[in-house]
Amino acid sequence: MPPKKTSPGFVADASAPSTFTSSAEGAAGVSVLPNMGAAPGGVPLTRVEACGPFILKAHPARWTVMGGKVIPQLGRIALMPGLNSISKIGDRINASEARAASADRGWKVIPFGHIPPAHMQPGQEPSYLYSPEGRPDVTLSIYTRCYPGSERLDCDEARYIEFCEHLVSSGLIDPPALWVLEQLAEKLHRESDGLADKAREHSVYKSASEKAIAARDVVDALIEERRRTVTPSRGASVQVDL
Amino acid sequence: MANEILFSGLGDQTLAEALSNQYLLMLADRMALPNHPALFYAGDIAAASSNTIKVPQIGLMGYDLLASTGDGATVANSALTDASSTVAVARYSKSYEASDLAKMTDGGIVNMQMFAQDAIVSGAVTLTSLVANLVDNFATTVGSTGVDATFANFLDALTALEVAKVQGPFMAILHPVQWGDIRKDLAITAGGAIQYAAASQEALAVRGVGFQGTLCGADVFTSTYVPTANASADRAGGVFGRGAIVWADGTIVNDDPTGQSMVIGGKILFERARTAKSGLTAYVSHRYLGAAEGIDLCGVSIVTDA
Repeated sequence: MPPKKTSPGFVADASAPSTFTSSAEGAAGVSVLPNMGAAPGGVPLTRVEACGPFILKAHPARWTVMGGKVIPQLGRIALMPGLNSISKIGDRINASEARAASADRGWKVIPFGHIPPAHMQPGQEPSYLYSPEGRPDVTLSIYTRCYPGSERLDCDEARYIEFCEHLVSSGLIDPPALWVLEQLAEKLHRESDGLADKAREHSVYKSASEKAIAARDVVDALIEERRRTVTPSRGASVQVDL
Repeated sequence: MANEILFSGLGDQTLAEALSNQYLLMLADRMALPNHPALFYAGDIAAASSNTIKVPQIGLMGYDLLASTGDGATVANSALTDASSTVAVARYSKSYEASDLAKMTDGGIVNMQMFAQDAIVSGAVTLTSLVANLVDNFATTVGSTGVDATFANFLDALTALEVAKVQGPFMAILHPVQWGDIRKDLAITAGGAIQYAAASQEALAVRGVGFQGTLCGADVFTSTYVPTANASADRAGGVFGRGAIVWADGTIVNDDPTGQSMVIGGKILFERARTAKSGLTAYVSHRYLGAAEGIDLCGVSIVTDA
């Protein structure tokens, strides 16, 4: 169960109290800003729904195209007790069974700190998870942007692609196999052809069609490049005794 | 004229605000999943000696075919293919605590009956949130990042399930954004007969809020608990058949000697706890639930633009 949502509020203004004297004969004092529930100039909190932490995982058969690059389509193990045999003792989450079950299905769990060095925040433990200011009940990936006073979420595509490329270049996950790319290409050809047909009659599909065609072309180019280097399997001839 | 009696002068006789005798529920996802055949109920942990239920998966009943064997020849054994999924049941609880003054002045909201009803709805929706958090993790996916969901994506998902030999009826759990995109696609481009039966009032009464209807034989539910994918660029709903998701629960054992609790439907414990010195009364509800992935190929994730 996601933690209960806190009411949207405001982050208190960080101005420090200053000393002053009320009059020539008055006693010295400090300025007081009573807590009226909203600090003038305070930044409203994000209004996204509460969501708990998760572990990202990669599957060899799940790839997608984003920003002109083929990247893994990551899954997640939501760290909710009761889900996939996850349990919680005090504050400690035990996800060992969930990780093992994922590994049995071919998933590769991505450690929290496995992010490109350029994405690490100075003075903080490296992690691909973060909580927006004032919302400890919300856990997002560092590549997800949320906005003050809004429920909107969007993806920092450039940095997310860097993260995905780092997963492959660091050797944590293998690049997509040729058969996976071919399967992805089939899917994208089907999708782009369908959308192109629709776009001819309805302009509302034009941008989706262009996106799908661009993705298809990226995968086709990658397959072409791979085929130049792939070595077919060797085997022995088969004789059938008739 | 003078001394008119105006509303503005009746400060001692009027209230600043009068409370309506009806209330509005704030927005929340209240979709509760019914006992749909696509959801595999693994059982009750009551008296099971464990909070974890193992669901065996067995390759029989046509999984392996007979092999052509020569007359008089010895047939080789077929290996029995098996696997299992485990689902651990965990505690889910919620508490509301009201002061005596709040209850005294209550106009029909801060009372035990309201909190008991909330316990029932919240308990059901908690299961929905668990199931919705599982549909994004199937190895088979359809849809493209950043592209709105279409009816073709939905059909691709059904085809993938049929190719994988998954038996219907299927259940689809989609984010409202995904369902909205598919519905729009149907409205713009549908030609000829599409097998879509929108949810009637009777169906909503049985299957609950969130049931959108049956599309090409799959029952479609929407939930805002469907998670994001690709760093929130997309939403990841899913379509699945029986075996993809397994769930279990626990029957409450109520041996409270004070009689300050009640068990609702055998599965929800609702209790009242009084803190006399503070003048506070807590209304606490508990449900014991667990859900897990079963057979991966029984489901397909639909990953499309958020």
